[in-house]
Amino acid sequence: MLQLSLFWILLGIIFGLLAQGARLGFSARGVGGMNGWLATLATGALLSLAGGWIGTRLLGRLFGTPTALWVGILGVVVAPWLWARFRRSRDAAAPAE
Amino acid sequence: MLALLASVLCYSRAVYAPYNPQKKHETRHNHDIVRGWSVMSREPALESPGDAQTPKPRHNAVSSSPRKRLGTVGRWLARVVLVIAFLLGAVTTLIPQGRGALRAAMLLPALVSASQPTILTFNGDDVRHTSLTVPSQSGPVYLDVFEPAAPTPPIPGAREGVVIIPGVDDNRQDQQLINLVEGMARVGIVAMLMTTDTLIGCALLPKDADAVSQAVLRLQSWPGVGANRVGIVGFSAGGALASLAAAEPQMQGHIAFLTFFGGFFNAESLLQDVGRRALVVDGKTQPWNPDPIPLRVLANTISTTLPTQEANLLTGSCSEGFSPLSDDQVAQLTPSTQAAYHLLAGDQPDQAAANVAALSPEMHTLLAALSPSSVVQDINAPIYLLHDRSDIFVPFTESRDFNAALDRLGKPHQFVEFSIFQHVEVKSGLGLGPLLGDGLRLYRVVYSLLEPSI
Repeated sequence: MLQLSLFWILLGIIFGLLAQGARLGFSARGVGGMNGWLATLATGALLSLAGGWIGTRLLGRLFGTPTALWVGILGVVVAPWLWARFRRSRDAAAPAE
Repeated sequence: MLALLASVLCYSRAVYAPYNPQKKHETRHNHDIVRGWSVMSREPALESPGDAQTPKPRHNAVSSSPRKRLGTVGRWLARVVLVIAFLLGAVTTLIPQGRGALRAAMLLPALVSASQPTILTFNGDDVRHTSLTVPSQSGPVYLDVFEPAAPTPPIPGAREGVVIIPGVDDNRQDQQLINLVEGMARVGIVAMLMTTDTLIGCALLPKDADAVSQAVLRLQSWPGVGANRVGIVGFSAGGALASLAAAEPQMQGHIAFLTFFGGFFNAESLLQDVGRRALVVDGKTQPWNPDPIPLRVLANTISTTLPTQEANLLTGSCSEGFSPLSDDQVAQLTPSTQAAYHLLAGDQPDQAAANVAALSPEMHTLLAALSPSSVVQDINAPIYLLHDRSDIFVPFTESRDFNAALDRLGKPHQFVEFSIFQHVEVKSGLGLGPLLGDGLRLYRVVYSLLEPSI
């Protein structure tokens, strides 16, 4: 499982890079500052790892990698969007107070 | 990877651009002009109030920049790769049919090659092997269970089980067979190899059907295996035992599927083809020279109805290849045993039908009791017939006859003919074309086998 876990982390990093390249990561959303790209890669790695483990537990080891695939991709695309949305709503709410 | 490289190489400016007010400004407007759309342009809250009032499009310079164009291509390539990978992952995990397709795809290379692919050994379950012996009416049944070492996953909650009858002789150490059962275990199937003393002794007897039933019952109660998810795969002569077991009353409705690979349908017609050394295919006779192993199996099986002296003569002639008996030895045999001998020897091809008719009533009874044709009407499980057209152990016409009988009876079944196997083992040195063609047919069958229990 250690090898598989490392593989899922690697997959997540690749997805993070792809999301950066596709302008879908944190820095493309204008969040994360100078380390936005790092946040995207870390998000990809963490969510792919989590997806792999969840897939393995729920469906069996064979399905760990496919689950890591879609969970990781969903994470690197949705997490920056959600984070940007959250910040936007927070910033919008701030002057009203 | 191309998308990754292209997008990363061309992304350096864009990554840091938002944090330089001037650059950020330029980048956003460039996007808007070049593409008419930008993810970043959807973030007005993050822009400074003055941003929108100082556009410097410079679109001519941008559009003429090869690096920029490469960046745009890389960006879209990266998105396409992400979408495809996402769909691939989601479909093969969230949809039951997708999960079945993935398992079939993973199992297929183990079926058509002598080794398990790295992707399967890396991603698949670890395999646990257990050997045990259970009693049956015909004596001890030797079982080798290959199962995933991990606990049964909550989805779907129970594993499929497959009892594999690898035919006559002791094939338990056969590398291709081990490869297959380990591959099954890695994709989550509990595979049980079974054999008996009769099968190891290269003979086939109807009483071994109980051994198959005992194996099925044992697998149905195996931890983690769904009781209604156990099927039987019979290789070669094992198919006959599988059909006999499936037709038994206590097995009715409890077998998920039956797969016959290179099996016979009617033992008498098989013996007639052996005696004639020819097959009738689509109304045309074509030569067919059987391998010595089926001759030995037939001799050993028929000899169980004979007195010891005759049995020894008949089995002795077929023990190591085929050694013809002398005229004196043939003269010592009774007429029915002479008929059986001539069928095995193939020295009276024109009288094959007459020789079959001349077999003793005991032989006729035995051959009928061993034939799936006698019990086909009592089998309710879906049947998958697989046979190679160049099989020299059992004529492929046997499976065609089986298929025709199932058609007549309206039983659920599939029939696939191959050209990549030699009897039940994959030929070596095959080209990509035959492997792809037959591999696709095999994939459909494997998927169908896994589909009911996805």
